Amino acid sequence: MTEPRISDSSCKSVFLTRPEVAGRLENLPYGGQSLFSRDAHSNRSCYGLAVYANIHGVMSFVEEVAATPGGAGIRACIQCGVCSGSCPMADHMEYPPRKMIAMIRAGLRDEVLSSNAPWHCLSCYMCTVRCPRGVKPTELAHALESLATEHGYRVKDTRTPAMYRSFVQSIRGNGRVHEFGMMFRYFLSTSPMAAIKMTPLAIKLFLRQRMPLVPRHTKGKEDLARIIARFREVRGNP
Amino acid sequence: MKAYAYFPGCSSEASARGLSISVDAIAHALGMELNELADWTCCGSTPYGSQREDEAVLVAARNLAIAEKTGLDLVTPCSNCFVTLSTAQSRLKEHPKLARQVSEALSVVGLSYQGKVRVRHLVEVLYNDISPQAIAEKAQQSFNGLKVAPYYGCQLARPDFGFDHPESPQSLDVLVKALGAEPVPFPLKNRCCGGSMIIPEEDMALGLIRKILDNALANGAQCIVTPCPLCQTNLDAYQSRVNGKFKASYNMPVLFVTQLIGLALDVPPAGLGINMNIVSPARVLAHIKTKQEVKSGT
Repeated sequence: MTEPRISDSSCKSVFLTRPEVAGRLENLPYGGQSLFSRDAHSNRSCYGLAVYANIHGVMSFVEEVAATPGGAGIRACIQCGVCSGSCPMADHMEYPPRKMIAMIRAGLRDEVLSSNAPWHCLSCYMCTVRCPRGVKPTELAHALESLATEHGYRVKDTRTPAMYRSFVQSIRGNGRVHEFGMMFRYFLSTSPMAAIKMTPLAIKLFLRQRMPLVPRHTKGKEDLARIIARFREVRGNP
Repeated sequence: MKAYAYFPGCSSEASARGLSISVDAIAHALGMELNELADWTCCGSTPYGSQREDEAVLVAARNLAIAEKTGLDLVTPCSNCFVTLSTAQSRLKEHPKLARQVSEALSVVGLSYQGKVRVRHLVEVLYNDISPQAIAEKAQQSFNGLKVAPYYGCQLARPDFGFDHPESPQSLDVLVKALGAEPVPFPLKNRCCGGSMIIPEEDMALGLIRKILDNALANGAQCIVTPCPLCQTNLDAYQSRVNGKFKASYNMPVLFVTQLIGLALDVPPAGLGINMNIVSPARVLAHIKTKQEVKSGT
């Protein structure tokens, strides 16, 4: 499989839009062009950028990720690629895990947070148990999803964010996931036609009492709502 | 009789009714007193974290706090609940500030969490507390050499909360063997079935499910046995869609391990929710013999 490459221009554009960086590049040998050299595609050039950025303290994306629960392991990555090689979804990701980590360290915030890669993580944890450096790419993916949602990124080429939204709405509404309600909301928000395709399976599940149409009431729901309201106040993050 | 706090998980009320029914049916006979957690809510599952990672920890913490009051170990039959609740515990340990804020929020409803609950997977409890030997002794029926593919799914042994090997687990093999069945070699025994991705990215997930069905069949399995609610739904309910997409003709019954244990304990199939399975498990039922019959070779 060929991994998609981050183009030189993409690295450059992220970097050069920051005036404090552009100004400094001029002071480097060859005006910093070696950082964007043609043969140093994606990772090498981006790694160069990351090193440069860390020295000059201009980049914050890697810090932002590391500070999110689950993201702390990112600095330990040695780019060995065991994660990408172990990932059952790598073929379907815009950027497989190793590349995604390189991009985060290169500060490619918009590219990472709008990509489908974290959303295609199945949470199978194969990368996590195999990583020789304890990076926990699975938890990293979860952290990136959370950041992408928080900052309102529109994620391309995946319907997973819509499904997850319906899932969480179901929890906030019922205290527990009501599978039928969650599916209904999801298909309504994405593709009602796909719901028609699902009907035969839904009927089979319904007939076997595996798809109750009405959620069961739980008292926990009210308590949960109160706890969440208080938590958001305390976190200062409504 | 050993007492536990019991966390069924949301799927127990819908797609995985067969799991909760069969757990209830075997618990007493095996000497487990399962006390369902009062007013439990969602564990704070993976999708919740995608919307707000911090809040997912809070949702888990509420359940953990209720469990802590009971003073019992918290047992769940759902692999995803197990990982979510266990991960939340680690988060609270690693992020003291978050832990303080969670405590403050929980106090609104008079709860507090000290981090003392032991979260356990039901399979781990069956294996370590009850033991395969004890289950074998209590079994009246035998599966008489039924070839079973033990499918662990991902989140029983990964990321690694101290039970079984993350890449080559054995516990289900041993449990299945204790029931007189024969676990077949099954290289994909803990590869991913696609999990909840079956809803938004069905085509990708069907490909993963197909590999697992194919691997079980190629190794001579007559049925698949799993503890995981999501795996069972994907392999069982979506099997016909795998057949449709890949022009295949899989007809592989997929049972919960608790259903298999229940059958060995001579619980009638209906009492184990086996009638809720979509792929008919008739060939599994046909294989059952009493231990007497197996002994006398009839």
